Amino acid sequence: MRKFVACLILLLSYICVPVGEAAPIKAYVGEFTVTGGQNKDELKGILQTLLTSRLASDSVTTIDSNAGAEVIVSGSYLQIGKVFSIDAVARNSKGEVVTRAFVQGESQDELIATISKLAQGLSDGIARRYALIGSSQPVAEAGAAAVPVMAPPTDIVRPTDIVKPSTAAKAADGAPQSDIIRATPVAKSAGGGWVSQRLTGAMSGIAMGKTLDNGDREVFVAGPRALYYYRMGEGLKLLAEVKTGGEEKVLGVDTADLDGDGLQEVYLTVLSGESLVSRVYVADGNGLKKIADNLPYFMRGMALAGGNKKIYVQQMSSDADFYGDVYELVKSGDRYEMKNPLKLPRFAFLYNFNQFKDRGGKTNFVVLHPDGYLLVYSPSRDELWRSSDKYGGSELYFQRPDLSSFRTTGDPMRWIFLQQRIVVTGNGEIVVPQNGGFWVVGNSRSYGKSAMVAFAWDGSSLEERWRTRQSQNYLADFVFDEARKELVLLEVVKKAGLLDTGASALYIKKVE
Amino acid sequence: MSMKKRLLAVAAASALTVATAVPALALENEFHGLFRLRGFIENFNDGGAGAVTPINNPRTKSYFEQRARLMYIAKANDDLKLVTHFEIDSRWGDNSYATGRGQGGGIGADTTNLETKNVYLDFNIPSTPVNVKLGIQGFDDGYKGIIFNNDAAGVVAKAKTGFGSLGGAFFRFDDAVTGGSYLEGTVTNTTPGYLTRDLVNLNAKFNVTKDVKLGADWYLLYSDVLRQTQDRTAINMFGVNAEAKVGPATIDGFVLYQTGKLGSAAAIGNSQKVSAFAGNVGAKLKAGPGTLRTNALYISGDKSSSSSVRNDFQTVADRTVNQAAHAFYAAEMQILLRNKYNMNSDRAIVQNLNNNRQGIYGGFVGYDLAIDKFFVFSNVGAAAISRDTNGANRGGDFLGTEVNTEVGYKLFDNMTTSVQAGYMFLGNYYKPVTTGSWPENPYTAKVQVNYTF
Repeated sequence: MRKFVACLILLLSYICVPVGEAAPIKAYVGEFTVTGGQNKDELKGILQTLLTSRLASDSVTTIDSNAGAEVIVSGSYLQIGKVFSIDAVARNSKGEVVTRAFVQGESQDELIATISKLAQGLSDGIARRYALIGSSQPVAEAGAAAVPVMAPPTDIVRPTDIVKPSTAAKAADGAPQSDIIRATPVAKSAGGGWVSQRLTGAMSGIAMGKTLDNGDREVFVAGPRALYYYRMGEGLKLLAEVKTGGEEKVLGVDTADLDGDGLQEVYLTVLSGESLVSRVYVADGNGLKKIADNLPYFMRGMALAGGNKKIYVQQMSSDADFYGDVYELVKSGDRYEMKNPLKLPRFAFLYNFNQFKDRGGKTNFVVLHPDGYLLVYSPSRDELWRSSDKYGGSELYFQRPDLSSFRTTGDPMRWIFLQQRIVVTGNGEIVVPQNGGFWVVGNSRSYGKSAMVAFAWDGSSLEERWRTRQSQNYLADFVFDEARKELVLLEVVKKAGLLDTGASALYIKKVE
Repeated sequence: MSMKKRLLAVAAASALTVATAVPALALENEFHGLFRLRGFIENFNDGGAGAVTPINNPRTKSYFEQRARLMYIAKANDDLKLVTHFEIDSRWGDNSYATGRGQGGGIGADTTNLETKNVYLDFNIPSTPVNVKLGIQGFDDGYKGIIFNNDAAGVVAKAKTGFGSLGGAFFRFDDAVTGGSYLEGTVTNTTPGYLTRDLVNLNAKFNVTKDVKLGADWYLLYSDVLRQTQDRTAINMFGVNAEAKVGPATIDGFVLYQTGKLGSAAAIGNSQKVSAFAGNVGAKLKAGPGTLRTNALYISGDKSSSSSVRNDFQTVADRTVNQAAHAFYAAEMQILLRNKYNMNSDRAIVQNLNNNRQGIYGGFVGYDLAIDKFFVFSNVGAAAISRDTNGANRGGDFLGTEVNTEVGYKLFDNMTTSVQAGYMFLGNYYKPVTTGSWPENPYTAKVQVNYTF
């Protein structure tokens, strides 16, 4: 009998001990979104910290990074008058909702108490429902990166409950259904979740070259008066640079293989005084060789309607900054010619438009309005839709003498700002930057934060598909590497000042 | 939370949703402006405006003046906006606790000195290519400013066409109820619209090619402000302007011919016929690291103010005759002609291009060099009168030669600091007729801070 009792106790201990000592669920609390109220930026971090420390319990432990997190909690804070509401949702790594909770209060005095209440509700819900829904492997392995710095987690945010009526939207919905997609570690996707070293100078343009056998990629970065040729592997390695002359200003860089020889040419738009003196280079792995000079065009590489990437050009006249139609640039031997004119809708010029196809196969235009609104035009150039929010926004400009307006402007020069590129992917997504600023008045522009936003056309309006987490930097330019599902972002991390030239960095964000 | 508060919160949230859902239909606000400070050390400017005659022993003047402008544009939609533009000028130390324009720089400040520079409606007529600007506005005359380069109340319409554009304008310069007129004397106009001075324009621009443009204009300068004492003025101006890019050079120019009648105190009861001429040729050429600029200007003159036919080019003056409402800023002179940066201090040897009926002809050459944030603009110009009005000839027609430079640095993208200096070698025009001393050569040295946005 004693042996039986001992065996029973031993058996029970095997059964009970794992239950009693189950590992706590690892939870990560992301930054809150804050609407209304004061000190929004401070509040985001404060709410995150308060909930992180209060969420921890016997069954839930909180960690400082979402790498390795089994549950990710995202929250929002809404204040109207003195009344506030805090809503939070906990999801597992598949994006499935584990639990939701909300609290509300009638003044800021109740904030801490309500956070504690919220934490309690969430903790209980996670403990009760996490196992029921089904655990999953942590989404990111911490410490796997072999690159200088890991990009912030949760790069891409997708709205919930998206209705996808259109073909394009459905096609664009090939990505996983989770609301939050995190940057994939470099070990799993070469070049993903990556931040370059700091580059001296406030750069203005970026273009990607070929991918080398070892997976490294060629990158061309334009500064105000120079073109830099980098190899991007674990870091950025400068291979060559070309400086422009005294009065010359670089307005953009793009790459394309127009002659089909398998080598991507580098198209550099350069303005000298009032004349365009653009040029073309080829990269040979170590340096840049100029193959064309003094091309009188603004140039931009675009894949219209998600098709093949080509170089499009527009001219400048003595009084019009962007003259006439946009043309396709064609290389014939050593010469470049303009062909296939494209008549643009109102407000469009070379630097602020693209095209996309709707479900009926019609090619519509998408244009960034001078005030920042996204416009959609029909093939007959009729306006179909315009956004409520503002997108785009560029600090890149050139100047032309304009004495006729001097009485009004007080400035002998006219300022002409360029615009952010709009990328249309093969599956119909429209990717556009959104720079926001603390000081954007008239010709004085200083953007201080940015995000990338993707839309799909539902037949009536553009519907947001996803967006990147907001960066605290001005986005100067970007490339969307559709094959790798990567956004390569050129951000100005320090503005040029009186005595320094500023600094920039490249970021890669994975879009899954 | 009580039900009342919840309802309030829901109502507020709904209002927020509605407000943020339709910003494209809401007013879009646009701001521009400038701040300019100039510090002067010179012997011809004195803080005022008008022509200056060099004298033998001018005092050295040293002072500061500043200007601020704020432009607010309320854009109702893509086709309709209200443009307002305000100005605040002061000379440091001039006055305080006062009411009036161009002051308030004295200790204590606190002066009512806000000037309304522009207020106009800018709109496109639906389903047409026509843009209309209606109200108090600036105007680009297409002739480098020698006809009219100021603000005035009027209407400007412009229609884009396949070949270029067609346009028209009407400005009411004067409808003086009381007070001084733009000519000598004072009038009292108790009936608005009875004594007026107007400018009418019709224009066409042709884009011959991307790099060749032609323009043709008809202007009518009409005035019956002094109709109670002299004949009316009605001057027709026919002008042609052109611009062409030829290789690395951009060449432009114009020809203007005036005909019509001029009411004049010198010919009471009979207006004088006008037959006058103005012309210009300019060029810009990329030369070395910078840009070379040249301009030649001819403004016809007349020997006599009482002849039956007046050959001096009739220019538009402000409401006070000594203040020009036109300019030739392309010359980039600082002493000889009006400078574009002039504010309330706006003196020049030839301030009004009519130049007391003498007219002017001159040549101006400049070189602009800008390397990164540094810039150096240098100019030399020489001019003479077209006709000597009194026959005394003063030793010659040559007014003199000016050399000037501006050296600056862009502290920020839209803020520059610069030092400007100019010196004019007076010509034989200023040679004493009999005995006496030559007047002193004018000079200027300025420090300028200019911020625009």
